[in-house]
Amino acid sequence: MSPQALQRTLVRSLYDPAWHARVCSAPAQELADIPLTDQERAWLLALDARALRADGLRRRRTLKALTDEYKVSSALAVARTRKLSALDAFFSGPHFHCCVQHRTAMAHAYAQHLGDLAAQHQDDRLRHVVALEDAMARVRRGRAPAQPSRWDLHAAYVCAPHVLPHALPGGVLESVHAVERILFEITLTPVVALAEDGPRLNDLPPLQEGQHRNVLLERSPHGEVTLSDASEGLCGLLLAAAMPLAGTQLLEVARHHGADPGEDAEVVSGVVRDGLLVASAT
Amino acid sequence: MAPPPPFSSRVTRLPTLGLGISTEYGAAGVGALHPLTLHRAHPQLVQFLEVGVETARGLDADAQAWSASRLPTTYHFLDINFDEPQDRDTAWLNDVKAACRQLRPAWLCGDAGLWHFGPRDRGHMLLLPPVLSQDAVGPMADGIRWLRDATGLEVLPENPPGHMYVGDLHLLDFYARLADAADTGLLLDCAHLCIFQRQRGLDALTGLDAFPLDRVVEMHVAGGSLHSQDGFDWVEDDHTPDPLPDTWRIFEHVAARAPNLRAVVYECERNSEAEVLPGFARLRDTLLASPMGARMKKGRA
Repeated sequence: MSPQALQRTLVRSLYDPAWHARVCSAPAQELADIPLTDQERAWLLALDARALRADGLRRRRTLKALTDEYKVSSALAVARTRKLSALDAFFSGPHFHCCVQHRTAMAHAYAQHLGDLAAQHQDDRLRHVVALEDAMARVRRGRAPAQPSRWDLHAAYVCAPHVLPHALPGGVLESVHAVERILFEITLTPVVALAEDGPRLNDLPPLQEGQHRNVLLERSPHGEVTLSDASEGLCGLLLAAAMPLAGTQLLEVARHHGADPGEDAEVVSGVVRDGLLVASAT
Repeated sequence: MAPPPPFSSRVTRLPTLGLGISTEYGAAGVGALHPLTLHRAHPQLVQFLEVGVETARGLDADAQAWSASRLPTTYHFLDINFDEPQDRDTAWLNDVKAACRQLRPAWLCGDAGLWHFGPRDRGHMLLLPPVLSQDAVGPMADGIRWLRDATGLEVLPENPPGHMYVGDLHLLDFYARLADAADTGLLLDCAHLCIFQRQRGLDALTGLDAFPLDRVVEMHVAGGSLHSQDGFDWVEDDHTPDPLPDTWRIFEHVAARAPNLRAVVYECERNSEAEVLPGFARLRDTLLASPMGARMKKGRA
């Protein structure tokens, strides 16, 4: 495990040379929880700081991949802060360092960073759009089962990895579409981003926190994520099955959301047949 | 179950592919050479295609056109960290097998280093060399054996490039130990080795005298650019058409001494035909005078 732990500190150093400088100043503090041998620690401290800076575009390339996926929330964050460094700061922050050292997904760590910006600026629109794009990122990484599971009252089921129910306040989707239009305009003529009279994210539709819209996010076989309106009952069923639930429990959930006794099994088995609930491996 | 035969026996069954070119998904869209067009114009210079595969992207039109022509290929992975057991997942393996059914590669190969941090994901393409220590050999060898057992194909680890190297072993010593631990052949990237030797202030051929050249099945040759910043000098492995003189030295030294060499890739796909033909010609001339050349002359490549 030790070479892997060292390798991860190298990644952190490459993305954040300032962190490496702090490691060199206070190794006991910065490396307290990382299982390195004395030799490995010495290798890390001996790195040539100039080598860490040789690839000046490392952060920018990675940021491109992240902003491709969190396109609208990244745009909203920059519009709010007026600073690209607000996004770039991700690579110096705790979420990035934690995801590298603990081998968790960078995309969701970036979403946490954007969520922090939303909280810091008390920007509810940004908070909701981050949540939506992060849900889409999760669905994008899920694969549909090769074939639907069979319905069995006594088996356990879980929400399929390629779908996710999501609730949105009114105005969020409209904001997303408005931002996408502006980003498209910038893509057509990139110089408009430098112009004072270029497109700005000033007049976005208002949020309507009291009006929730239930949607189902679903990854297509080709990898695109689609968004469609879904009933509260279906969303409730899939949300309840975030953890494995027995068939009998799913019938209870269906009845809670309005299915009549006798109709409940038909509803749940239909969702299983559609591949939205899959038999749990555990 | 009987243990598989040793590498020394398995290698005799590997085909001689000769001289080839590499491609990655979407390369043609950014002005790269079309491998099939180049092959048809120069069949003696471009004999096989090394297809760089990121399973999330699959195979592009160039790779599919080449495989449809039933010409030889090798599969160059771009998305497996061999030393991480979490990376050895069924979904990825199924994607690899599906691509192999289409490409029918002679073997799998690729940089044995850190392609991504965290779970396999889009946008990483990090590629760091491994920590060059004995402790790092075993986990990486486990991953190579796993992929070989799972696909039934040879898996040739390649020495990656880097701006910095960490550990107490010479790069060649690390990969020699890895080949021994995984009982596998190797892909020696001459340009990457050249980068390492310069970083350590060593002569280009340092360490080759003790390196198991009989394990070298494939070699890569590519151009690189010299850079300097704040007094720090490094080589960018940018696949320009002109390999550095030390890259040529390494290639010519090893080609003359590697008895099991089967394939050489000139990584130059993002240049014009006129720029790359002299390099191909030099590679072919060298190979024809090498042990591999005898097999090439027999028409097996």
